[in-house]
Amino acid sequence: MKHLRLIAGATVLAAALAGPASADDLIKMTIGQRGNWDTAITHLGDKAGIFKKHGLTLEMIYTSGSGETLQPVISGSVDFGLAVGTLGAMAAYSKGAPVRIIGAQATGAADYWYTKNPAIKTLKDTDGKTIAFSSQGSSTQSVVRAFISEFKLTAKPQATGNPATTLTTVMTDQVDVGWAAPPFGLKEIEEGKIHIVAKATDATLVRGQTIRTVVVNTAFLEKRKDVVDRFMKAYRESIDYMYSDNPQVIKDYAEFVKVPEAMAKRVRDEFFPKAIVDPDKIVGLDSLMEEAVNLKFIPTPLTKAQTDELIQIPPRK
Amino acid sequence: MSAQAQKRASFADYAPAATGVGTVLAFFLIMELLVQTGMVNRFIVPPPSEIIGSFGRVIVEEHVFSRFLQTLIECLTAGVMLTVFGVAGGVVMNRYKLLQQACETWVAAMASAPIVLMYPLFLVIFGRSAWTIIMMGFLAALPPVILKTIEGISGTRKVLVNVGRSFNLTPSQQFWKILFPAALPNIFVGIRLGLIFALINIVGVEFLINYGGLGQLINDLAERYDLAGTYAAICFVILVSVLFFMVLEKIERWLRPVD
Repeated sequence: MKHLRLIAGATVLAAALAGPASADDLIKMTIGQRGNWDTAITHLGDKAGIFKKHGLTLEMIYTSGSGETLQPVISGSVDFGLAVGTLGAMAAYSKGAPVRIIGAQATGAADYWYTKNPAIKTLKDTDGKTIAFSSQGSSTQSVVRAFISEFKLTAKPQATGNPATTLTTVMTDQVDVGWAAPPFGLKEIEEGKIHIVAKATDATLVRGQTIRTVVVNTAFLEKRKDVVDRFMKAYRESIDYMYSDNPQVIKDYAEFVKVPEAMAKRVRDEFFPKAIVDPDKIVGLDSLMEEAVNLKFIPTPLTKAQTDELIQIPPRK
Repeated sequence: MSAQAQKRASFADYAPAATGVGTVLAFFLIMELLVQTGMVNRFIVPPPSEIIGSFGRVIVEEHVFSRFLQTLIECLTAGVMLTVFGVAGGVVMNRYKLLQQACETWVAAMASAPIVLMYPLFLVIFGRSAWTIIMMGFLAALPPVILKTIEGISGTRKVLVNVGRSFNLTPSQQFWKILFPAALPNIFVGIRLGLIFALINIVGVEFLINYGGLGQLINDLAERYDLAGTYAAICFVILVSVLFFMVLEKIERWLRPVD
């Protein structure tokens, strides 16, 4: 009995002296558009334990758009913003907001355009018809502009809001061609209610443009550079994992967006080639800059020095 | 009236307006100070001087007047509709007690329902047009007008009703000469509340479905991270509201000159 008491006392003393267990670095982030394959990178990587392996704990808050994602980063309420429109990031930077781009989030886009009208099979058939984009200044508007310019279309662009409202307008004949981002709309495609007319990557301009980025608060980048480096390392590893033959990733994604596994696999294999989510390079800066000025995001193109300051992607090691 | 009394009277006339403007100016000055000293993050709330400076740009480059007009017309249409149907609804419900007992709770419940979330349904019914926005504003604003009309009519003093009876007024005369005038203060409270609901919903739906008006402009400017412009556009929404309340006050004074 005396020995038992001694052991218990020693255990309590050891526990008290040991202090707190070493904690991971907590990263808070906002992420635009929950459910898209490209915005699920942190979720899937976290579920696979990749971020944990790099000593990072993620607190993910999903938003419905680029502006909502960016604002908390600027105010410092969160550290990172994922899927922030490149033009929006440029606009904020040009106004002196404390934000830096540390990675590309989407180069090109997986968005697709569809219709329920059997007579419209390709983009050429959209002449004189209405074609949807989400909102003024959005990436979907850029894609539609690129379609019209590259394929010499006479289609009439129309802002229709998010994929859900767009589907409503297409199904009620208010717009001829709608837009969506997979997996949204795939169920309707499989049921034969709608069919795909074009994918965003059909436009050469879109294939060569980084439309969304990963951003960080400047103060966080300056004070915790090692955490940013580790985050990007884990982010890249997560992408490699998502494109590996490990079936768990498809299971996790299907569960995350509540779709059958076959559809989840289709989203990856058919709509998201790995190049889309490559975070290492912001491409198409010249055309992006021109677009940013045209759409009044920035008054004049950013200088080389400004671009270098804005884009600080940690190199792949 | 002596010159001094006249001077006092004219000061009394302008004092409320002057105090109101002074309060707004003081608020702007305090905000400017807080932002300039860094106590409020300028990347969340831009300094008022920057907002004022952006007015010219928003007016010229963003065609704010045509958008202002669109929102104003949508509000006006919804306002007229909710006045006509809301007051008529309240009168009918007050007239038929069974209807009132059956529906009053439902109408009150509708006031707190987030009708704005039903915009996809409205898009199907009314299409992608201003009518979707107007109808959403109208429906969201209807309950306070109905409820306040019922409250106003049923709250008419018994002595006034009895006076009408003693003059052998017909039901129609009783309504137009006694009940309606007595209920007017409450009806106007309902219309004021209704207009607030209508304006919030109209601008909110414009923002959501990206269809013209000031709501869409606010969305566009926010996406471009043009904070000063966004706040300037919000000021125009406030201007719509101010205009409506000024007009409403004039109508109320015209209908109730005694007060």
